[in-house]
Amino acid sequence: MHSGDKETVPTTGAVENSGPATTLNRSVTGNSSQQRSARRVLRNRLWVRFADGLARLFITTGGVGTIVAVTGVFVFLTWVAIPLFREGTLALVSEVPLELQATSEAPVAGGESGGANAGDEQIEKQSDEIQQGKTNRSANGSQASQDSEPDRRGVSETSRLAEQSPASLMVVSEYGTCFWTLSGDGRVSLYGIQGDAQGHFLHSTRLWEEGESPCWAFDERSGRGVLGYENGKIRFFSLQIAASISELSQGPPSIASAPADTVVRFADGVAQKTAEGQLRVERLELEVSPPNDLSQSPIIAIDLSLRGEDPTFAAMTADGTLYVESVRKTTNLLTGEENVSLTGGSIVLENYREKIRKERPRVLLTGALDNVFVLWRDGQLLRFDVRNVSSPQLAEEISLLGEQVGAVTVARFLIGKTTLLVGDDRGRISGWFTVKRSAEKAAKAGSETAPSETGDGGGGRLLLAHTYPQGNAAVADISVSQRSRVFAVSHADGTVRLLHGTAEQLVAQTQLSLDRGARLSLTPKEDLLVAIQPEKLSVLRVNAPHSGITLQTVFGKVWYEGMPRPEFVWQSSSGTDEFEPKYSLIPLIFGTLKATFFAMLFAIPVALPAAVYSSEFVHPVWRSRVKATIELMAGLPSVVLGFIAALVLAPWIESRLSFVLAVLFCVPVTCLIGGHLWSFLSRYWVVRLERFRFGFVTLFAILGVVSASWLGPWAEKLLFPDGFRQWLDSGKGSGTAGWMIILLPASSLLAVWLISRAVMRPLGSVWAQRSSTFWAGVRLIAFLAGAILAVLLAWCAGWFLATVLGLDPRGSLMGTYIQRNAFVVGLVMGFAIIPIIYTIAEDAISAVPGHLRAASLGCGATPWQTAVRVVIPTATSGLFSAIMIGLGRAAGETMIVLMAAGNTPILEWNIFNGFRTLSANIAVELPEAVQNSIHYRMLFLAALSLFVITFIVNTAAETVRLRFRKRAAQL
Amino acid sequence: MRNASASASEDSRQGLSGWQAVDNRHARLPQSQDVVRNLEDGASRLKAVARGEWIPSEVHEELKHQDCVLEIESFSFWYGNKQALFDISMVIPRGKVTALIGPSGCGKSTLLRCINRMNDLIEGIRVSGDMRLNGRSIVGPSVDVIELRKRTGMVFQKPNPFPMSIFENVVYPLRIDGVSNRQVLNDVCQQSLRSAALWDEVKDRLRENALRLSGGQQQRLCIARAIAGSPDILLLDEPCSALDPLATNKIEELIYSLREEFTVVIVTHNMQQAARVSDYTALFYLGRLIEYGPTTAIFSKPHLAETESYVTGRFG
Ligand SMILES: Nc1ncnc2c1ncn2[C@@H]1O[C@H](COP(=O)(O)OP(=O)(O)O)[C@@H](O)[C@H]1O
Ligand SMILES: [Mg+2]
Repeated sequence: MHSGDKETVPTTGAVENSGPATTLNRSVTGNSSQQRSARRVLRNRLWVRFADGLARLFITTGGVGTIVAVTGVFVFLTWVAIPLFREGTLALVSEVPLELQATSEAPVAGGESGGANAGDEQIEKQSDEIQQGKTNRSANGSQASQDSEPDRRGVSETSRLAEQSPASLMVVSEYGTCFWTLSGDGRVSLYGIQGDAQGHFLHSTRLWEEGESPCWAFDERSGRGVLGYENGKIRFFSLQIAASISELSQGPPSIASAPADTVVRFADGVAQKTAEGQLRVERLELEVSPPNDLSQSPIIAIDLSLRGEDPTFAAMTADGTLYVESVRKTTNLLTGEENVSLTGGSIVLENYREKIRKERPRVLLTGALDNVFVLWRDGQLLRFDVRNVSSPQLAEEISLLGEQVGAVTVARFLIGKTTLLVGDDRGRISGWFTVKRSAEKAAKAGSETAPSETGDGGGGRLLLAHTYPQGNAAVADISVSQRSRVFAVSHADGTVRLLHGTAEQLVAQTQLSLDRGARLSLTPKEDLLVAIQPEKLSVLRVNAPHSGITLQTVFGKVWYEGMPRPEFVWQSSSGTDEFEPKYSLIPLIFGTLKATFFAMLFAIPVALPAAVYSSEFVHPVWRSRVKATIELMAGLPSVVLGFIAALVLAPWIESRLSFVLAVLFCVPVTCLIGGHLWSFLSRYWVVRLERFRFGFVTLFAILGVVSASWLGPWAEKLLFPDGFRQWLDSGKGSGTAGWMIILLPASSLLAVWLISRAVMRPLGSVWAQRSSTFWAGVRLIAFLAGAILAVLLAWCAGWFLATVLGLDPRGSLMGTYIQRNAFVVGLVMGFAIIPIIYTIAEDAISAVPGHLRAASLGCGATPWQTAVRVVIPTATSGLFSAIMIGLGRAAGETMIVLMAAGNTPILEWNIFNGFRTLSANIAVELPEAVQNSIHYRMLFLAALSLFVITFIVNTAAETVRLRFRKRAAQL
Repeated sequence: MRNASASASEDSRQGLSGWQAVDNRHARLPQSQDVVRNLEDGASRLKAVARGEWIPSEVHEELKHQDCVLEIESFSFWYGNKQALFDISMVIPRGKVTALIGPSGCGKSTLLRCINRMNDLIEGIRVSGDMRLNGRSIVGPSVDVIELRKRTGMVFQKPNPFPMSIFENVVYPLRIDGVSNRQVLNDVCQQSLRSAALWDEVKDRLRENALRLSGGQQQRLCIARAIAGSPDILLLDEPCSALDPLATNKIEELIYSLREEFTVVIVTHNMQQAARVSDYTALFYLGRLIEYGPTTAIFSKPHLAETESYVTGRFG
């Protein structure tokens, strides 16, 4: 404009102030010498080139650096998380012939017996026995009914099929250096696994006398067991491989110079040089207590579980009586004599006597001492409820094999003795556990889809929860890990498989050299798997640190112990080893979505209208103040907000819930009333008071808060006679009022539409010529009528939903009130993300070119019409981008949800209940996760999921924003 | 220019609001003999204006007997303390094309934007004097501005179609009136596009985004949008300045053809354009109306030497 003035009107006095730029310009283009000007240009160029290069370097470094950093984070997270999904391995370490050597007769109670000097005779005898066992088995298979004298050796824990191998039980020592086996005649033999002891017989002792054939049960974790004799007596025993540390000099001379971890045969056990340079001697230790009377009838099956120090056992006698007894040891102070007292009860199985006489069942007692299973080969199972030890109750009778043909060969508990693993002669393996009736009922009430089966008896039902990948041949043995839910299975064809109890996952698999069923034992550390086939010892290295994690367990439903159905659960740690870890990311992802949803629910209706209002209607002076204030809000640290939310707001809202809810409805209404009253002002005053308009509306907002303070309690009394909290928590009363609250926003929109269509438009043509004050009155009346209509509509719709359709909002969007809940988080996190949404939205709206507004206003549109019809549609993508960026922020927000969300990882939309987000979960659990454990890597997977979620959201926002920019450039 | 605004600020009363009449506008009326003396020199009037002196407008006789849509009476306008229009008095004849010419910054657009009160959006403006559209005053706080804008259509320098379909652009004035009858909308759209000589080009792509049209087509679309509201007066602010010669030609033809139906006020930079399309021409200089008369008279035998030198390109 100024340059135009200068050219056209030379006479004008307004000469542009000549700045340094003009001077420079003149001197460059002026008549200075050629050389000087050339030098100057050259110097400029050099400097410019240098600056250019520097800028390029910086920008390239920065840009590439950012990309590299983001990619690096992604790669790192993936790097840590990916081993979770790697397959495990079972690698054969060594395979040696097993030295089958028996010792001379050792006393039953004898701790240590001398000599490994047994003759060949013994070996042959044992081999014979193995052969016999084999023939026995085949005979049994074909003529089971004729077998009136059932075999008594270790039936409760072993299968006949497994008796092909030389032992009915096999346990490896803690350090994986040696193992002992229990053979059918009561002999306990210690063998070496490593070093020069590998495959060698080391020592032998007797658990029971020759000629006796008690049934027995052994608990590997505690090393304690029980024997049940034909004369109706029981004896407890403790059998361990005991380790003792001593000086190297006390060991064999060869070990002193050997490297650490070397294992040698030593005395009647093994010795190992530890990493600290000491000598660890391991030897067998057996202790058998004196017999106790249980019954007159022979004991044919027994099982024992320990809870703390004192064992509880369940025993079946030949006359069909099931005993369940708790054992208490008392020591006589005077004599020092140990006395064992039994307390418990029994139940006589009249109906099953014949079956018991024909075939000896197995007895299995759960770890929680609540159930006893009596199981026959044909899969028939009797479940007894023994929660009350003094009176066992028959709870149910089911068939584990169902319609399928076959015979149960192995039945063994997973760690914790809750899940029963059942293997059959077809190679099928299944997992069963009891589900409490109450849990089942609760789940059924939740959804009507569950079949309405009814089991008989209390204490729930035994359900088939897991079906594992089938093997090719009969299941020969199952060995359960003592530290996780992994178990090893051997099949009759010599395959050994590692399975995961929860995930139903085949972790690893291998084939032994002999195609015979092997007896297995996993070491307590789960690093070695020892398998013995007749005369053969195979040692396998187990490498499956992340078993049990598959895409199915992380993102799918998994059936956990005690739950009535597969479920999404995150529960990463607990006090005991027996705990079943539950790693489903779904509740956390859900929590993240819930937090984001409710935060957006509060933030969007505030931030977007505020952005539109302030950029289109607020006086520029006020606009900049409002914007500055709102942007100041963004500077509040989220930990402060979280702190306030958890410690101030949550209790406060809990005590004034009706008021807070009323505020949400009252403030918009009073603000709109204020707006309507403003339009009563004549044009003259509107022009003069324009700058006070914002303050005027604010005044009405305050009025809204005040009116809510009496309207809230009043409405609560009217709608919920027992009080809102009571209504939420009790689940009693009609759902109408609850629906009404939920539907009020939607019904308001409907009412606005109805009023503007059905009332305002016809009136517009009738009273077209009336004054603007008249119209302001009409609009105010229409607005009030609309507000009442909205409430009525919401009530009607709520009544319809609650009474006619019978739906209740409780259980879905509402429900039991927890102090730290999604409502509080939504409010506070909404408050935290309002600034960013507002700022970006305001910028997007301000970026709408003024000439579009001018065009619209020039056509006679009001500022509102211009805003709604032109400005907002033009800025849509900018507004969308603002929402998406807010979304990304809400999804990643940690401190507020950590402090105010209660952190319960539940899947529930209930706005008054808590949740746990991915980010809060990482913050809570990462400090306690052992590095590189499954838990640790799962947390990284959670971080990766969060990264992917926010990445997707931000990418979508960015894509839309770029489109928006392209379109804006067109305008 | 600065002198002028300075004197204006001295002249103005200390009112806060824009719509306060300023009565002492003739406080420093120069003596008429000064004016006569200055007439001798070709540029003397311009110099006098530049010095901030008051000079009378030269309005030709023909204009006094016209049927007028708009009468402007002693109209002055301030942007804050800066006066942009000085005591303008003129009439806009009905059914004719009136061109406003003058060097840039002389207040042509300001005058145009006063007619539909688009200047209301600017902070701190003030006016004095009067304007009457069809006999009804459009100055002062009691005027319904929205209604006034519906009675006037405006086309801006830069084509500014909305980022919507061509159809929605054209029927926008009806949409804001709440018209939703498809038949009416279709009729108005077709008629307006025909009047704007755009129908044949866009009739098959009415649902397409208007931003895909060429610049000239966009400007004709804006004209169609302006006439869709059937305004009493059509205000065109340099409608061709952003267009190429071919598109300019089309718009000029369009304006020429619109004269039967509409009263058109066109601001233009381009003397030939004014000569081609208009019936009457008004020359502005530094916020003053210098000479106003039939286009033929202004371009062939103007009353003032200054006008002659302007239209022949000796200044401006
Ligand atoms: N919004 C505004 N605020 C202050 N001064 C303005 C504004 N718009 C225009 N002006 C000034 O008013 C004078 C007339 O401008 P304008 O009417 O646009 O001239 P033109 O004849 O070129 O259309 C110019 O000096 C200009 O600087
Ligand atoms: Mg202009």
